[in-house]
Amino acid sequence: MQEALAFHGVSVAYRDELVLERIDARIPAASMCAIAGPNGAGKSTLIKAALGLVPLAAGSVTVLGGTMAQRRGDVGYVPQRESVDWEFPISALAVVLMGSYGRLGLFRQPGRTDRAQAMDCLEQVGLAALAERQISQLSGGQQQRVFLARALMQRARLYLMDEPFAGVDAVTEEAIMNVLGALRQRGCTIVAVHHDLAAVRESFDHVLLLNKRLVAAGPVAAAFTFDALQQTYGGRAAMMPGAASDPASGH
Amino acid sequence: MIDPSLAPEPWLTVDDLWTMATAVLASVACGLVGCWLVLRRLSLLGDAISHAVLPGIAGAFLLTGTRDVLPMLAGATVIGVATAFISSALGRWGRVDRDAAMGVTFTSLFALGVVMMSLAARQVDLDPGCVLYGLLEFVPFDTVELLGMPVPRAAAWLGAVLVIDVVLMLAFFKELRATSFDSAHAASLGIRVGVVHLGLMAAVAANTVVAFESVGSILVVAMLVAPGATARLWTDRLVPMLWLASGIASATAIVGYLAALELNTSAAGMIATISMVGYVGSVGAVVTIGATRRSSRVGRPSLSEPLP
Repeated sequence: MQEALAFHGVSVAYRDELVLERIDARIPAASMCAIAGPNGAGKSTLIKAALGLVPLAAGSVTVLGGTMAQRRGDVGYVPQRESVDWEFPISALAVVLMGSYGRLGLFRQPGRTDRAQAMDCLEQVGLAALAERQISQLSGGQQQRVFLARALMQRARLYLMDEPFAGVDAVTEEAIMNVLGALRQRGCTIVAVHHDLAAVRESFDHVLLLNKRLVAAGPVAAAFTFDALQQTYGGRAAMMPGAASDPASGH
Repeated sequence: MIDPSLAPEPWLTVDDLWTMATAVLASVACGLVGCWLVLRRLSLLGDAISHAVLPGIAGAFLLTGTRDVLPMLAGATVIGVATAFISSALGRWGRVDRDAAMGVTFTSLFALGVVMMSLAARQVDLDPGCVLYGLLEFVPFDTVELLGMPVPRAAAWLGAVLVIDVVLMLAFFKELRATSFDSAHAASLGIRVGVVHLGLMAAVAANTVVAFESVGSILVVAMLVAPGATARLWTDRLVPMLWLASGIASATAIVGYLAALELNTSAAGMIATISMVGYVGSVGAVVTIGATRRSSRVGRPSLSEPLP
């Protein structure tokens, strides 16, 4: 099977400064791929570049064998939780319904079937009881799960997630991992920015190590080495639990 | 025989009712569009645009030499969209804050507008003061024939704008809601975030221009922001917020006009004052209610406590 997502020499610049330099990477279909790297490494930017949300200074991205414009309906996006205004007057259910907006197209509003489907997505993340609650009254973990439910609503084949585990409680982490596992069983591909290196080793099978350039990419067993982590994070890698516990991995 | 001159003078004349209707139409139209500005945390941009449209209006005067609404509408809408565009471009490339970019754009356009206004005033009968404060009291004297009866021109225009606002809002409700809440996700769905934004800015500009002649540009700012901000205090849902804002806008216009009539003062100024009183009163009420609820809940598990 071909790769779900491929970056071909992708560079991205903000103003004059390159934040991503010539990224070449392939993420196989039906894999769970983590993107890791220090702050400012361009992890979120790489996700946005794949989605076409930031202009590419060079290179191209192939999504599910086509361009993003062709495959939009097959791609679900989970932005960083901090990127939105949680005081916005909207219920959890209405946020999830936004996942249907792409396929509805212009001038059509979600109907009863979409509503039932949105309830089902909330059920999958364990929030069906809170469907009518205003989003500011949800905990951080619950808000993150609402975002995941909205992505599920898109019925995508490729899910791009920006730090879905940032600052969430244990219940949420488990709920999200269960959903991601189920998605992968169905042949979906998951690409997630992740900070917890120990969790990457445990739960993901692919990894991209990023620090403006691509340091390493491939199956976790091969790419997630002490050397690569040290190169990615600089000297601070010694403090990273995932690397320090087994310095000889991969050699 | 009863002497007609002895009959009690009616409390409100037909002219009063028309003026009040015009104020209500202006209020509701601006209030509805303003809800989206409040939700997008762009209240200041509404202020910016309503000031920045001045050069567009003055330009239209200078070019056509008339006070027709259509050329003014075209000029102001172009400038309104340009304001949104220039301030976002300055923010992106000029290495300045969004607030600073907006501030620079609208003050300089407003200043340009004042200069052009005073130039235009030499050619056509145009009073910069009436642009700022409006001439609500004179609304009934300028009528058009509509369905066989004389309707104030301002009311006809504002009614048309309100209908267009509502139709557009219904047609693009999904897009407005998605881009206001989470523009990055909306863009990933293929929604044209930039087009929706510019469309909203064009609507703000068009509403401002049509409303400014009757209520003045200063009151337009109050009408854009106050109903939405007040309604948001009372509800956590979008559709009820839009209804509530319309209701608040209407009530403000009616109460403000009646108060102005009673106190024999400027109607536009009174309406703006009432809308401020409504907002401040709502803040007070909501804070008090919140405090009462919290204290009555002490010792009991809270309903809004997040579940695991």
